[in-house]
Amino acid sequence: MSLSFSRVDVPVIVDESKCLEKCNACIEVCPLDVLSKNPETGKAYMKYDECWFCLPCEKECPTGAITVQIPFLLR
Amino acid sequence: MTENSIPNHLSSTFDELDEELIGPVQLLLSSSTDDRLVGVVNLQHLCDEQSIPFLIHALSDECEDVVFTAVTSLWEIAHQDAVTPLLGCLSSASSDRVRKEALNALKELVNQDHLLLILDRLVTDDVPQQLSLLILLRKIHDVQALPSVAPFLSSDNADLRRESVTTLRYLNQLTHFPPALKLASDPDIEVRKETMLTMAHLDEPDVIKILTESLSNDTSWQVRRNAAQALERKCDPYSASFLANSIGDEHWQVRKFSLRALNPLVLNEHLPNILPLLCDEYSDVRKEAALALGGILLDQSKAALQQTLDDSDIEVRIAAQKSLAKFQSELNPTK
Repeated sequence: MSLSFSRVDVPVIVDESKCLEKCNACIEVCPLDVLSKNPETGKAYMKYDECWFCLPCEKECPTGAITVQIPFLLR
Repeated sequence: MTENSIPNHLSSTFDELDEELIGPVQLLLSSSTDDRLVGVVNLQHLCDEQSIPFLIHALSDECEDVVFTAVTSLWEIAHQDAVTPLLGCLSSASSDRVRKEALNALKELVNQDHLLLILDRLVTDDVPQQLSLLILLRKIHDVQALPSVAPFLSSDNADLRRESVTTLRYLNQLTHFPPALKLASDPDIEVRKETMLTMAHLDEPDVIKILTESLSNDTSWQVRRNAAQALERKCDPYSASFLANSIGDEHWQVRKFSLRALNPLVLNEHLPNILPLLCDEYSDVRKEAALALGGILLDQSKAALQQTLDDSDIEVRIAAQKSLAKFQSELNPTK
């Protein structure tokens, strides 16, 4: 079985193929400051596993690269 | 990026920009789509009036996402300079998403000063643009728009007929306009629905007759419901007998709104029609029936209301209490 190198166990999933390197929209709107840029790839990622599931990051992303996985009990 | 790539008409504005805006504006004027997208998103977050000329420039961008974000940004900044360029986004050349966003922005931005501008643009063959402009005229309420709206009532396009007849009821001081009445027998249900509500605002002699006819005979329950709503606003004694019949309609919404319209006109002879509705399967209908019975000062209606105090729905119980209190105050006016 192959290993997965992308972090999929956090609530905010970033589709790196869509994420724009110069864009900081999601990082700026996150009220918890948990999103950051990966200095190697220039793509956004969830640096700390803490989330209010408030969704501005998903809404503000101009390319629709972000998906917030809301826990079943909060839906 | 050099200043050479800045369009001539924007170069002087660019020179006066605040420092924090320069970077995003340069990105917005880039040849790379990704950069332009980042630029417009940054400008949206900065929400600065200085960026308006550049956001207007972005409305003609080839990338739909850039245009959409520019429209949203102009909406947020809410400056009157954006009205004319945003009107340009209503044409069918823009995508559906951009058109809707521009329309929503314009709903908040247009005012009386833009009436002639909108009326000028109505003269076109572009149906999506005409539909949006008819909607915008509702915000202005000016009866001067009537000569421009009226031709759409006889359009071949049902959407145009629907939007134009809806716009009519938003025009101030419009009380007489016979061509609108013809749409009460339009083949399109949506047109008839809106026509019913518009007729509530007209004082033509035939209006009550047409409304009662639609209430009794239209095949669509939504049209019948809207006719009842219009008759509630009219409150004409002529409609009482028609409303008394339609409270037995097969659809609960027609029963509900007919009861509501009948309430101020209710007569003792309507008691046999109303009593069975206290046992209607829909609580909204039972509530309106209880309220209507408050206007019939008979022992029979009082007894029925007392039984309704045990209804399973709290709103019905409250309505019954109100009606019984009305009984008390009518019978003992001095207390």
